[in-house]
Amino acid sequence: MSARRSWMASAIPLSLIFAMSACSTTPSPAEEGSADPSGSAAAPAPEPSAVVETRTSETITEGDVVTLRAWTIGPDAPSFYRRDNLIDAAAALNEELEAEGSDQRVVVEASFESGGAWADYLQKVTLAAESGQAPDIVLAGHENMAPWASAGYLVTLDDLLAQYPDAFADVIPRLWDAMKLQGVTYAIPQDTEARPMYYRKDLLAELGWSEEDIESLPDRVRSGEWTMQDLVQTAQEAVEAGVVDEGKGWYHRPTKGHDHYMFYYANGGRMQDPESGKLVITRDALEKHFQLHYDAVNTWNITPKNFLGSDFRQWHETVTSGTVLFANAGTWTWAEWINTYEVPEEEQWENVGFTLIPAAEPGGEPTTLSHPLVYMVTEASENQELAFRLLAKATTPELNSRHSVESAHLAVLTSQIDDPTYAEDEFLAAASYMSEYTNFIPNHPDYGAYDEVIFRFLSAVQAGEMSPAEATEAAIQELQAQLGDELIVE
Amino acid sequence: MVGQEQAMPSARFSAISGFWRNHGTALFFMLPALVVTLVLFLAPAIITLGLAFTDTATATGLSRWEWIGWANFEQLLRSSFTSIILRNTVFYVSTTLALNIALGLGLAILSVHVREGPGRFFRALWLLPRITPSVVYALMWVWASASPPFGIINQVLAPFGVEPRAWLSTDPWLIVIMINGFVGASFGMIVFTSAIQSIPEDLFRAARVDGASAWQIVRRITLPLLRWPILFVFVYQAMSLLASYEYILLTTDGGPGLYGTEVWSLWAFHTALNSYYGNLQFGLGAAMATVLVLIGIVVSASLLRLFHFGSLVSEPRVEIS
Amino acid sequence: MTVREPMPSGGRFSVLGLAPYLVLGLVSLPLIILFGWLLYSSFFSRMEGLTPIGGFTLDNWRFLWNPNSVQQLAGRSIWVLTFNTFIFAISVALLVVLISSMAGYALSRLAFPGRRTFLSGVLILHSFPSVTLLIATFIVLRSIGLFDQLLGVILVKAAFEIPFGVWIMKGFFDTVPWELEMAALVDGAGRVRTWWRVMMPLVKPGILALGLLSFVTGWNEFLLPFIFMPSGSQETLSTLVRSILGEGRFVDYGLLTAVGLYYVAPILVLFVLAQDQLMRIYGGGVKG
Repeated sequence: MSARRSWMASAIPLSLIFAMSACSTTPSPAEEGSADPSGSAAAPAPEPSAVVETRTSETITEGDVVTLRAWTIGPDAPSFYRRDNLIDAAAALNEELEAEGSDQRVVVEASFESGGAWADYLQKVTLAAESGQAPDIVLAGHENMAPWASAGYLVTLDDLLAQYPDAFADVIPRLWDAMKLQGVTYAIPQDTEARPMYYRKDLLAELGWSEEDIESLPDRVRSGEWTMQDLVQTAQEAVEAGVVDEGKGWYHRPTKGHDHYMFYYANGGRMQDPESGKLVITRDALEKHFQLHYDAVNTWNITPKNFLGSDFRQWHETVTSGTVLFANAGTWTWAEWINTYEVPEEEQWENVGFTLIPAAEPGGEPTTLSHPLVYMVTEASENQELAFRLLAKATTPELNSRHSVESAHLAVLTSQIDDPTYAEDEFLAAASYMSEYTNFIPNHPDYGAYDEVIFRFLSAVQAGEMSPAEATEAAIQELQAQLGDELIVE
Repeated sequence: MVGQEQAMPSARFSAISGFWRNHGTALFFMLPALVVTLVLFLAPAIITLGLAFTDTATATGLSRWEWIGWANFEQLLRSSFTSIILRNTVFYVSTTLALNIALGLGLAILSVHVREGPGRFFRALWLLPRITPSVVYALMWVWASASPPFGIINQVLAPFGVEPRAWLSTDPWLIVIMINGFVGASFGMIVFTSAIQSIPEDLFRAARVDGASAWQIVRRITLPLLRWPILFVFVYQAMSLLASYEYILLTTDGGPGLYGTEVWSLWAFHTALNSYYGNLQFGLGAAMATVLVLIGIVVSASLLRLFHFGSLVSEPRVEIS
Repeated sequence: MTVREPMPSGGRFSVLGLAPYLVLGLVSLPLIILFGWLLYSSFFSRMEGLTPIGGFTLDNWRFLWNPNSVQQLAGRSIWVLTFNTFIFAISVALLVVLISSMAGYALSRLAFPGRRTFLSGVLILHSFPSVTLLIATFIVLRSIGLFDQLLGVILVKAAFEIPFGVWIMKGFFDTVPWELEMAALVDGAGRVRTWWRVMMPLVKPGILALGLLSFVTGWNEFLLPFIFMPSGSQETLSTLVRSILGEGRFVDYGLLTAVGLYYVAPILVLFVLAQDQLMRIYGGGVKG
């Protein structure tokens, strides 16, 4: 008894020590490729940029000096112009203020975060807003406006847009859809991208396609003539002919993300009701979407088993090794393959082509999906109008184009297409038309929950755990259980 | 060894005259711990319990939330995911626990019984998983279990005729349990090693004189004397595993398929803290945490019973007024 | 006062000869391979499983001598980050040890109301996954004005560790025979003086173990400084590892392995040095 007691006396403390060190480890929310809200490239920055590097515009001594603070994030390093464009816009705004005879002058203090995890950045913004330390301007994904505007952190921009009608007249009109929450504008687009279907020209040639067939593919997809059905058939042929291995006919995104919804959209799915702003699930489109992914793995063998949840790095290494016939990824991926995966640019042009996501079936529309990053002005800002005017000065063909080219993003201004910097980038110029066919994810506070449910059932379908019909029913039921009135089932 | 019962009976020593002075002293010693624990641990815990009954989320901020009664808990009852994830949690905790204890015990017994140098080497080796930054340790496994030509598991097992595969997709639980089991093994290992070393050497010597084999000694002396540490590690690790999620997050992220490896605490994390669409559902996440805490309280209650908590917190024996 | 020696080893199981080594080696093989491979791959730019792609290179370790070549370092020296991390970890460790040994002493030696409640209460707090407490912790920090303050982050980190520190230290004080303390008290030393002069030296193994483990958790901490001190949170090694990891798609794996090894090395050395002590505390520390 005595021995046990004294054993206990030291066993407990000692065990607690180790239990403590077991339990206090830090969570690390950065999953593989989980956050590419920006859809971004991996071109090396010309100069080392900080993890969070803050820069300030020129010091000003005269007049009534106002400091505007801004937070921006990559997380890809080459997107540092999100910060620098704001800083460089300060001079233009000050000139304008001087011309108006105003005493006010602005100094911009902007930070850019690279590398970090997207979810943590959002958390930081939220907590700063709650503690009254929010900057004047915040950059984030367009869908972030939904929770932030609901919580009262953001300023509505409609009045200011009416007051300065010329400031953003040049923005590609379709982008404004993504800038609104229930019809109210909360954001200014900073950049955008698209998600094309890449294809291997050399493999298609091996399959017996003529050069003309190959080169005209993007146009045939664009016109709706060549559809997803053709893609599936071509991929099957390639597998059967041994041009590619089983499972390497079509690679889609291997992790959770927006990209999957392109196939839902292509099947006529809707995600949000423009009138009420509620989330929408289209039963028929969802089932077709599930069916496509089910068959790709379990019937046609054009996509590998156990694909969702696999490693993004290995995905890229396999795709850049040239053994996968079709792969849908982002426009930013083009530069990533060249820079990170060291594919010579010329070789890539020679072997890889890109098209819109083909229509689901004849008579359908080709599609793609964009995820614009946006600037927002915070409610806490004491100089909301100046912040807005700064954004106007930071949104010019010159500034946006240098960002587009540096970070491989598509234009947000129609005038950028003619900007010499932008036009010089062969890939961006060739992919720009995709913006006309684009879709967005919804701006709705419950979109995260919606996406989680759909993604998990998509995974179940691809793993062969459920039939597409079962999964559709179960997904809708779960969505209704979680979202209640905020969901329209059609 | 000194048994606590040898110490002097105490309460009477603290005469009434000394009561206030004593408590003044106690307060002085307790004050920093009390303040820090109450303000930064207990208060947040109570606030979290309160949050479970609200709709607090990023979208409401901390000023626009409302009380919604049991709605969060009702949603958990309605969700078809709840049963899947509860099942996963029980499976994960029980299997990982078994591996933890088997490994910890085996390592402790063996590393004590080999020469000191190698014994220390192996113990240090098994501390590595715990002290390696979780991100690096988890990624190491992700790379190791990757499909050909990348993963080293496939390369190592190929000569034994094991078919190459993407382990995290085909056998997610195997990898998840190994990852966590290896981290947890060091806990049992240290506790058991220390316990074995505290067994009086005479017992072993006597057994050897009687001609007992090594196995008999382990079976008849070591294991029976380790009964209490084993039980302790069992219950305590069960609690730690209930609350642990990060290695799963970093490897399978709850997949593959329909929540193949999602456990309760990971679900709470996904709900309350990790949404890259930016709307964190603090209220619902707090409700999930509350459920977990209830389970934890049941487990810790059994811990306290098993270990005669009463005797551990009995009044102090040294008391001088 | 004697300290129990580690069990004499060697001879005891000589009958079995090599068998225990074989079993140990076999069970440990996965770890040996994994960590060996981690070390090995830090000297190559890319690996396909066990096969390096490209030749031997020290390039992954360039962060040690050429900070400018590592974008995530942003021109800062790795030594500065290491120093910052050290400061944070040591502050947490000192605070935890001090507060825990004060409270542990009172809980072990003094009778006062609420003692049992405190001891069982902190065990229940343990079942809260600490991460779910973050938002509530923020509410508290904001209301006491410690949000975005280094002190706030250190206190929060310490608060998560203190309940267990208290339990540990109580256990160690329990093993100290009261006669030693009584002698001091009879000599007229006050409680505080006795605690500091007589008791603290006797529970050194506990202080060492608790300090070491608090140091390690502080060393590895990422989330708390990042969330609760947005203005200066980029200055630690954990953020460096995280920023190299980035969002997964841009990972320089070679660099990550090298930095990861660098990050874990000091802790490993500490553990190896302290292993004897960690194992020895078990025997009961002080004999009376």
